[in-house]
Amino acid sequence: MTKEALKVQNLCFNYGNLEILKDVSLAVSQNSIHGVVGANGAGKSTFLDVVAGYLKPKSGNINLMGKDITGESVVGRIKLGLARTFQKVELYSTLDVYDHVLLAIRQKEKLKNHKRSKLDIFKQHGPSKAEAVEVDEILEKVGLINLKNIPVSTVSLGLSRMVELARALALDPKLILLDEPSSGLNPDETGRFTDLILNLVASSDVSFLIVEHDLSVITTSTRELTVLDMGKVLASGLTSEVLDDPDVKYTYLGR
Amino acid sequence: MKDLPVFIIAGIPFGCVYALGASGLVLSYKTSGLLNLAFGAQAFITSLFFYSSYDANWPFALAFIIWVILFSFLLGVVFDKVLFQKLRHSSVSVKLVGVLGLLIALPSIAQALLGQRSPNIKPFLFSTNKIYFRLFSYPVSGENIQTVIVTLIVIILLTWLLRYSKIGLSMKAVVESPKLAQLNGISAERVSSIAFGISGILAGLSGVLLAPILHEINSYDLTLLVVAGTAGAACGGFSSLPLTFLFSIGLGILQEVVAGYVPQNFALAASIRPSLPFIVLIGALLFNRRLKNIGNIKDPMAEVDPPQRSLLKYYSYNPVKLRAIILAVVLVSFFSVTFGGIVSGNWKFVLCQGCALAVIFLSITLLTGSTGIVSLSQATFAGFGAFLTAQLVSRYNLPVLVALVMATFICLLIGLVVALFSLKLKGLGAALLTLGFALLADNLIFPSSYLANGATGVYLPRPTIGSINFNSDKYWFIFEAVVLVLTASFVIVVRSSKKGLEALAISGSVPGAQSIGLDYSKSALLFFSIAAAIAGFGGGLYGITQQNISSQDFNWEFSLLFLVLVVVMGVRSIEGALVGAFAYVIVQELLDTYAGNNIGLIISIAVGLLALIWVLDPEGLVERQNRIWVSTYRSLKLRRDKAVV
Repeated sequence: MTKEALKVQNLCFNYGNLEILKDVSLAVSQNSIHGVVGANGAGKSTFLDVVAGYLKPKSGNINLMGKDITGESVVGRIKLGLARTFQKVELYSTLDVYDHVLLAIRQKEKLKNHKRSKLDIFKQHGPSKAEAVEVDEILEKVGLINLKNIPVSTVSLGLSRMVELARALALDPKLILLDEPSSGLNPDETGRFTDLILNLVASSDVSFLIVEHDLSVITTSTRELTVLDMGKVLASGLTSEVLDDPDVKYTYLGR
Repeated sequence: MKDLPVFIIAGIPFGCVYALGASGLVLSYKTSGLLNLAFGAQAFITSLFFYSSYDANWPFALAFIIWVILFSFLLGVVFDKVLFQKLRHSSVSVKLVGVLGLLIALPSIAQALLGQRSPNIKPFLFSTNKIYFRLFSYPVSGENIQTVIVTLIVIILLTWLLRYSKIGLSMKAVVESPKLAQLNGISAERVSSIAFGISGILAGLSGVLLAPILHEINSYDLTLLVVAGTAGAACGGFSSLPLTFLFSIGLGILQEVVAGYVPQNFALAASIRPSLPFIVLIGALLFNRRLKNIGNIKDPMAEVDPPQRSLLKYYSYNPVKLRAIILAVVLVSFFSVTFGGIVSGNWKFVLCQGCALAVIFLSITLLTGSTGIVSLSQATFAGFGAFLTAQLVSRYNLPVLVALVMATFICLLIGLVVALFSLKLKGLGAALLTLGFALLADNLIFPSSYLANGATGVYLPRPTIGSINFNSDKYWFIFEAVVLVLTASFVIVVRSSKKGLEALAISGSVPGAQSIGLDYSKSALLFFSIAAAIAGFGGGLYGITQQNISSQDFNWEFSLLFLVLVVVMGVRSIEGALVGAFAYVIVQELLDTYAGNNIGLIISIAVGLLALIWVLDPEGLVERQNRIWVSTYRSLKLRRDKAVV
């Protein structure tokens, strides 16, 4: 039986009296890519924010690698192996590509080894030998090694999304939440991004939960798919089966 | 309690003036997302022009229409077109420096044009000193009646404009989403310009009505109006006009009631009344949850905007040692020129002032340059440093340098406390809270005999170490220069430390930093407290240089001036702070020698205009030059390396 990287059960979330998520349940198998699709306002991004710990659910459970993380803080979840990217790219505008990965590696060490935050105001920020090797490995993996000294404010949106992914990978996560990674990318860039996450799943033990509008990304990369409609799960299962579901075709695909 | 109705009636005219200013602020903020703190300056210059013309025997109607209606409206529109529309998508520090530039420059420009003499405040609708009737035994005079009548007319007109007019409907659409409104054929830019025009008229009206109540027009009233207006608008959450009106009038009443009931023999009785708006502003910012994201109004369609323009990675010659050596060489050259007898007179003292000021400026480099947090109270921390040093020397007979170190430590703790409060908010909210703190210190804390000792001020002796007596400017300059090099090196080390890199990340993107578990609050607390300590240390040095100092040397206006000077020169490099400080003292001395009485005016206008030029290209003058030098150096090096290969 495949183990689950993420298991969400009966998740509910309200903004005031407005129910945004109603009894949402899904499971992401380890070493797989799980897609979440739905029309605008279906609750996809809210779902991602609740899983990442940015919003507190009204009820329900979230398990990461078999451990209940429902009450954990954002940092607690990162420590247990959760990382994320954003729909609107969130990079450190004055730093270069290298610094993004270096900072994430340091945070990983600090969080995983339960190190207390030190008053490091006199230690220069340059990398140690071990850190330098690790940063280069990650940049190599995502194909950014030749751009490591480029300030992120000068790179294209496609590359910015790669930098976000590299930063997430540097945390050595078990599950990465990707929020509409193809938004704003051209077909070539989208193809490269999809190939990259497929390679990462094949070559390491990371899983992805990907919220996406672009069905070509979903069909080429995900094994399982959940369709959200008005905050509820309309269908969930193997991607090919879900996309053939008459309800999904009618509600989401408009066929 | 039999006087309560009297105090309430006495407070209503003040409340009305605050309400007019505040509603203008809310109107422009809602349509543009920009908090126009310069509205106080607009109020000041409109009332100055109006009363000057009226005093020169212009007919009332003509003066009113030209200055209060047409001039104020056009001023608002021009500011929006030329500056505010360019600031919409800028960072908090750029927005703030833009409006602060106007706030600093405008009153001085008006005074330069009209002369510094305040015009007579002639009555217009009603005679100002005449008592028309008594209400609960309160003598209601002409200025009270005209203020209330004008405010009522404005409420009726604004309500009609927003509810029933075409432009009102367009404004509501732009408030929701400028981009969606544009898709419906509404020009969001035009609507926001009109909103700024109307807010200009409201600011002008508040200035014109405030003058007869206070019987004068001066720049302190400008502060009162800015803070009281901002406090009223903050209570209304910067969104609801009816609430803004109600709270502003309530604030005017509260001021009179509190002033009426505070015992006259209470030490701070005179300070409490003018301080209430600051206290209300701080309270509103801390407790009104709607203000948590003030300054971050987002269009739901903002996703279609191109990404914000950000500055490139800061280029510098990396080694601390090299930069410290360059700074030392510059200071030694200054020393040789000045003390070698090439220049004479007051210049030795001026250089000593420059060193102390540069230390204060470095606190802004560290805080704003690393974290993006804007503090409008760095001069206040400097004041704490100076006054505490003086008090520790005079009360406990401590050697002055020991007292300075202790005062620096106390400033670190004060900074920590201020940060704990102000960092509950982010961006503009935090900056406003620090402004509230600065004003509170000016009015309630510094006057105490335990600190600045009111207008009398305090005395700070120069130290004596062994046989060296630092009463000589020569030796004191050497001491300060060494301290400045050490402080600059400290700032460089902290900025390029691990924590410095984290702070840069957080200032680049808080959500991005949060996604890897970086803690905004901890980093902000650390940098804010260290910056407060550096400012306090610099303030102490400045006090020891001057020897006699009073609270006027560190009032809130200096915080604005310091911030503008440092960011204009380049907030991300220590060179920006150093050039800013020395340029300031040198220009001040030159003006003092050649421009006589107009020195304050010229400096305000120059600094204000520099700020306005800077916001259009916020790299910083020194920083840009630095980048050009570094890239030239690198390309030369590359060419040389290629030649070697």
